Amino acid sequence: MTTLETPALKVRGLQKNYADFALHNIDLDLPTGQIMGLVGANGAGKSTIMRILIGLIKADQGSIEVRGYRVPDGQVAIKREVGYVSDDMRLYKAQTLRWHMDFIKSIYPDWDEAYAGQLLKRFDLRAHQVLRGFSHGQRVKALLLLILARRPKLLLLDEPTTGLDPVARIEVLEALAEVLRDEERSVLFSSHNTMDVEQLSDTITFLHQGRLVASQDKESFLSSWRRVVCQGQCHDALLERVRAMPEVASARNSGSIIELKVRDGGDIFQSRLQQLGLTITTVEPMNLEDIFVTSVRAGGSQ
Amino acid sequence: MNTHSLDFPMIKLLVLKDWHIYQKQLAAYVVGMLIGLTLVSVGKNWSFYLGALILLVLLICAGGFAIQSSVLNERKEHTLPFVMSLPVTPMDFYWSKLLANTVIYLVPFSLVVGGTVFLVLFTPLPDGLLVWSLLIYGFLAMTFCVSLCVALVVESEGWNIFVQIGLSTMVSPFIMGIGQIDAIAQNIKTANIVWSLPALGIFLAQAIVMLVALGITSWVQRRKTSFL
Repeated sequence: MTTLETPALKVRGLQKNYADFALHNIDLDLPTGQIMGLVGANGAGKSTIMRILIGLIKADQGSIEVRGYRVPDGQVAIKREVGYVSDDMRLYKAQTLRWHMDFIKSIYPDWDEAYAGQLLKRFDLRAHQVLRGFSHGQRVKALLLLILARRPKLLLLDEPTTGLDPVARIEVLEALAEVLRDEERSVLFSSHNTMDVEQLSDTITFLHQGRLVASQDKESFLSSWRRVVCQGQCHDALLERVRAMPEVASARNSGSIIELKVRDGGDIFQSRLQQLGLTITTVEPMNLEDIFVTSVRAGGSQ
Repeated sequence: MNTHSLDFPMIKLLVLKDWHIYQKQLAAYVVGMLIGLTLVSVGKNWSFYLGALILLVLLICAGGFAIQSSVLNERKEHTLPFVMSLPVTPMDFYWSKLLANTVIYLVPFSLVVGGTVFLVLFTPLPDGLLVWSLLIYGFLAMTFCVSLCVALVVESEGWNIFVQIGLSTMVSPFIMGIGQIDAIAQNIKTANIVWSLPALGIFLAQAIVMLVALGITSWVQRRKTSFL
């Protein structure tokens, strides 16, 4: 029996090895009611993690619990409570959306026909149209309709906005934002589009080449990272001393101007820069994309 | 939930889904087979051979169509992640595909076998044709079963096509082969239905090949680590 206290996801030491790719000791925690954005470049391992969580791939090692059920033994119970959509998932193209809705309705007793009707209108989909005539955006919306109308407790969305035009992308994000108002519903949402993740997520996890680079709540991420620009007599020795500071993830210079990307660079850090003879001219927040790229380049350490 | 216990209501839903998706194309095969049976029943040499050829070709195609549509296309057209995200275990899915294909194939197969038995027994065609015809249909059922098993566990489309075409090309040698066995061939044009030892041995061998193929497939399926 799952309760509000049961975490939506609890992953410890997840490993999966392929000939040319591996997931290394992934730990993830997603409390119930939270939205986690999984950010990574193509090939980072986002889809592999999602597929392992839903039982489509077996992990080599690690303990995985989804809504309190262990994977893979509890996969049927998990699939009853979890809605999974991936960008490579397709519906039967010769059948209508209505046929798919009836098929899902026959499997899930919690199917909400009234809500399905609302989603049809919201997404501007025609139930009696065969899927062959749907655009990519319509197919994604049809998939989201099919999982949202059965009111899953956890959504696993693997790149749901990839390939969507701006209008369809906004529609999908708005629908998701509305769904996420339910405090009991949790979401793991993967994307390489950091803007989408920044918009929706409470917690953000960076993945790179099968490794977890950083995982933190969004506000901490955004508030702890800063771009600091300073000016001074720049020489190699000084630059090395700056780079050696634990807060500095990236340091570049152009003449007498040095641009730093720093984590937890508060007053003490700034006074240390001043002690080195540098004058701070700008301190500004970084966006998620910049934080992601900097974290990956720095090798990650959270 | 034990992953080895089967969810029969869910399997039934998946079988009905496959049946619904492929029933229209199946109806076209059935019409073609009725035409073949009609030609066989005319009683002329040319119509018998033409009808028999139509039945053989359509039966091979119907089996290949079922496998291609419901197993290989599920992977190729990426509907497999959708089905596997439903509350099923990989073994539920495996059994649903096995049953759905068997049901889809049994419709044309039963029609052709039943029609053949009826025509042989109740028309002037020699009754001795019965054992010979059933051996050929047994061989077709065996090739269907092996092709289906390969399709369920081998993801490569190339290998699947190779196996299907390879097995289909074995039909003619098989017909010629059983024609060389005196105990079978000498009764074809007579009014006697003779269940000779070689004929029974061939039926047994066909059944064993099917059971072994199913056993190996189930064993491989249980050990799979990816279900996409």
